[in-house]
Amino acid sequence: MNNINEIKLMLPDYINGRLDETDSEIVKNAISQSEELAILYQDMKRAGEFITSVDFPQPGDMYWSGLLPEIHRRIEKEKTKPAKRTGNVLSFPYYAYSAAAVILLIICLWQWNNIYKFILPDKPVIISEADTVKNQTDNHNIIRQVTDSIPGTVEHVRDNKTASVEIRGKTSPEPLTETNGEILYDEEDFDLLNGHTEEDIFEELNSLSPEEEMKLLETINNL
Amino acid sequence: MDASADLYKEDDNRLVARFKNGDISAFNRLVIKYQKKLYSVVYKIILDHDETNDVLQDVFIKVYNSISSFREESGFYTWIYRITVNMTLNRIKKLKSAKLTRIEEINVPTADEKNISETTDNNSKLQFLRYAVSRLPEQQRIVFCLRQYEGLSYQEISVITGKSIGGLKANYFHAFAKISEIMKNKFNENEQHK
Repeated sequence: MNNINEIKLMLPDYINGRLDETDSEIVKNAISQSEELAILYQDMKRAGEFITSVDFPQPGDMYWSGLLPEIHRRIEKEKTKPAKRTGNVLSFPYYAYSAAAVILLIICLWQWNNIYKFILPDKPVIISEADTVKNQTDNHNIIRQVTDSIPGTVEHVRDNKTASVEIRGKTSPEPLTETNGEILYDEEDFDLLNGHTEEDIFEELNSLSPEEEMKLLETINNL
Repeated sequence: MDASADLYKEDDNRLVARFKNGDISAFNRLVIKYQKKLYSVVYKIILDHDETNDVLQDVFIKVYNSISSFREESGFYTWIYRITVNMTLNRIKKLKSAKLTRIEEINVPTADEKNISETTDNNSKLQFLRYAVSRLPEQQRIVFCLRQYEGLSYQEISVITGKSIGGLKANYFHAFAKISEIMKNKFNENEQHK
């Protein structure tokens, strides 16, 4: 049994008499049983009668006799035009440009590191004075925490040549004299060694530049 | 395709073979053979002579330039029909936004709805039909015209358009229903203004 939607699809052909006998009977019965279908059928039937009553104008003989010469004229005109690009990707200019682009890309990827440095050279990091003080305080606290955690095992050594402070384990095999430095304090006796106190240590640390502090932190991390 | 189409096909094969061998008179015979038929198809879809003329010339120029790519398995008739439909479809897509007519500008038939087909002049009817058909989506417009005016079977339309038969039936129904709705709404308006 056809549902109402299937019947609707057959309505135009039913109106135009294009259905076979069986289908026509089915549609006819469905229309008689459904008010919705009956209304739709009446509306479409009127439209169908209107459509079939329209006469479409035909051009005169002059048009037909002129059509073929006009077609040939256009064909000849197109032959004399320069060939336009068909957009075929296999034609010379397209694959030449594409190949060049691919080669350039490969070179860029191969030399990316060098290019990156060229494009984006290292820029100095600008730190505000407030940030500098904060960073230094944070770094000092880190250094202090580390040295506190390993008492008796660390020496703070200042290298007189570079004026940098180095933290190293007491078990370091390198003799102190080779570094031309001097032990500032010993963790176990820091409060007895030349009167160095925590405040002294922080004062030492405060005198370090940011780069020296970073180096110091790296050393601590490597212990 | 029916018997008359078979006759066309046999003659077409000979003409196409001659044309492929460089015989331009064979091309001319094909043009003369199909020009009126294709004009009728295109005009009923576009409903404008100048645009129809442009499309028709484009179709035959396309045939002239592409005959070497024609594979005779489908039949020349189907092939040229397919070209015609595709070019018409492209044209109405371009025209759609440019030439939509407002219904207020149309001399809508004022006759009673029941006898409008008999009492209204053909120009008014044509104008109204042009308006209604221009409101259809392109695919529905093509299917409606091929089925309603050319009487092509759904199978033939399916070969030409590449769409499924079920989809074509739906297109035809919706196009028909839309035209009847436009008619009904406009006549109801006329009744209210009386």
